[in-house]
Amino acid sequence: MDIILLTGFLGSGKTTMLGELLNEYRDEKTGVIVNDFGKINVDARLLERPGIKMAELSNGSIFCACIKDKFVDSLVEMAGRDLSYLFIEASGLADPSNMESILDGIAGITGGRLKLRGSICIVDGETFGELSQVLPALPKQVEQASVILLNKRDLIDDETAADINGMLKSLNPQAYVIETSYCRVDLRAVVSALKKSGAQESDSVNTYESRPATLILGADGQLNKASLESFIRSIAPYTYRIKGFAVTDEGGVQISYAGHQLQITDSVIAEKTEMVAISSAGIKLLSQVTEASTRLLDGKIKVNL
Amino acid sequence: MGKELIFKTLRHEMTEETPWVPFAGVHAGKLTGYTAEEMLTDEDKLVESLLEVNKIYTPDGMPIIFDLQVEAEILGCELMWAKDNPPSVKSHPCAGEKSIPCSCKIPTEESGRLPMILSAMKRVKKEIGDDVALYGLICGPFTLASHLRGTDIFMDMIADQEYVKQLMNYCAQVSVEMARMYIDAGMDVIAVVDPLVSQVSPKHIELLLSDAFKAVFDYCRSRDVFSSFFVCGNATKQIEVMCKMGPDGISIDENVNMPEAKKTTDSYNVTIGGNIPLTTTMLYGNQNDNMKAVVDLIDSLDAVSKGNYIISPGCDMPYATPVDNTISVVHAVKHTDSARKMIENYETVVDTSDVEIPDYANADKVIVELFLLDPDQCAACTYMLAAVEDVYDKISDVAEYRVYKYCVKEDIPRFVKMGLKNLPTICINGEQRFISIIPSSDELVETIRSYAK
Repeated sequence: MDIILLTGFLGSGKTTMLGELLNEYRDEKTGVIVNDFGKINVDARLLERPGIKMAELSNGSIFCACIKDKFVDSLVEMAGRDLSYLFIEASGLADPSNMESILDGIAGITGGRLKLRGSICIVDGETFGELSQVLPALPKQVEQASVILLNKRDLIDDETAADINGMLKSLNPQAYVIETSYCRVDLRAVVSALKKSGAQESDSVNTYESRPATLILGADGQLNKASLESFIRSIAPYTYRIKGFAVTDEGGVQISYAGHQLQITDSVIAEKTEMVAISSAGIKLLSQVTEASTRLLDGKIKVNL
Repeated sequence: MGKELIFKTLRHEMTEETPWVPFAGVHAGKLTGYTAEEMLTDEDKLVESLLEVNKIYTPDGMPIIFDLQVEAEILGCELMWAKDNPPSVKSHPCAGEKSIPCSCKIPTEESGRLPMILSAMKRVKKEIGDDVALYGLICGPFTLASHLRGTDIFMDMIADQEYVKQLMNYCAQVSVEMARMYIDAGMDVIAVVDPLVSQVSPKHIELLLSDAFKAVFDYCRSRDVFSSFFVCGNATKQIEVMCKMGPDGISIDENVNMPEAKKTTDSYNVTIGGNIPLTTTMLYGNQNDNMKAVVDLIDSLDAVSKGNYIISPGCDMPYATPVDNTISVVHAVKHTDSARKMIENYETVVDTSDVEIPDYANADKVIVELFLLDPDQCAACTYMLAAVEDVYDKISDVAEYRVYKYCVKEDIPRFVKMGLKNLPTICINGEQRFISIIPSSDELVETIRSYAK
């Protein structure tokens, strides 16, 4: 069973990429493990499809002690199924440096069935330059990848693209780099190009202590759509990522904020308002949420701990 | 009804009577014959004691448990238990090499003594919760950070502010979770109790601590629950920054001039609570002393402005507080005019004739005198004593130290003769050098050595 690991920062395009891969490989026997950082797994809902075996792992990174035991359980369970491919979408701050050692550790139980085909790292062209200096997991994701998609190419200029290409080459000279928008690539060609990276195995930088704070935001009833957008823009500067669903007076919507881009799109699967916000300002995000909720939405959005 | 009186006051509305909240923590155990440790660890004894507080002291609001070590215990601090005091922290898991505790240790409903506490809260809510506002007291994030880090945290505030921010961020998450659980258990007011805030300059509070506190008060507000900020020690300079953090009320002890502080809290539309002196008045005074203290306090507060205050003891009542003293307090709060007539022309006198002040100029060594409230119960006092003990090896060649406690009756005249206005205070050769501020170890050693011959 070939494992294909998808890594990349929050909002870089992993879920979009994985959705495309699942469509492309729909006639193959495919399993998916979706790792979402928040307590609710937004990505899993977006990826649900008939015929795909899915496992959801929430509330931490699969490479961190937080939920590594559950990740291992999922791998063992998938190994027992008749699958050709296992796609794993890691959470945005995951450091996959210990992936091989995890597979080696369970080889006895899985009979060595699970083979890491390689990892595809989705680099967010808008934010990688800045955030890779601050978040150690990002360069690690690049180092461990065999294919790197420099995504959101349409949103950056040539000079920025050249700088990022230079950084990627310096971190991982062997990787195959493709510039994309919306992760539109020849998927089969990408998967074929996968090989094990030459990077050294190491301990993951994901630890309990390095977890950023996440908040679950919820609301009952309908929200005014314009006010909801103002609310998200108001708290966005204090977050790395906001994603989820909301019920508005104009119907259900899906919300995705990453980098400096906010997308609010119609959604038929939005049943209640529930969002995950990953803080870049520690506990201060809580105060920002309550203030903005009071000011813009009559306090309807609450923090659910 | 008492509960509505508290709610109206915390909404800053005018009320017909003065609200009264006794901070009967371990003292509740005295009413039922249980030790402090018994009533802080046994649900039935705790509930029995609290219902007795309600029966005898007829509060408008009351805390369920006054123990700032609940969270610290869960996070790995060892506690030292006492018969007539809340426990004290005796080990600090983040002392020495800097670390932040694991997120997995953030308390849940199953952690430490919380199952007992939450169950007691629900039982008391069911019995008296319609009539009395119930206060859930949580350890403030800065005091919690100091439980984890020990006295090192004061040096960190100068040498590694980024670490302090991270530790405060963690402790704020703990405080918010505690608030959530207590609110879910039915508490009407969440009191964030942080004695050590009085030790920090307003500038450093705003730089390093405010975000953490604000998050807790904002969370309470988002849950439509009142909040209060309890502080001990001379917090006069800190009142304004505390108001800015957004609590509905602030509660202070006898170190702060309450009418003066009310001018600030009124300007921020924050309710002020306090501040009957715990030791001289409630513990060692007589009934007339207690009535006079309350009448004088109410009159001085009304002279500033009517309403927007709650009468309480300055802090957690001493275990052995005579019941009749507290009953006199209740009478003075609820029947102020009657009490005023009863204590006309009564004055309190302290005899200082037996106090011998040392001959500092001719002593062999520098004399460092610590004047504390109660190092077992008052967090600021604990850390001030620790600050001197920790540097003793570096100064023992030139100095000695002595400890006096305001909770010891025989020591009180010395406090009066030394002219002390605020506690805790470190005097060096008779000069008041560190008043309600815990010095860093370097500063303390340097100051003591400057007095050496």
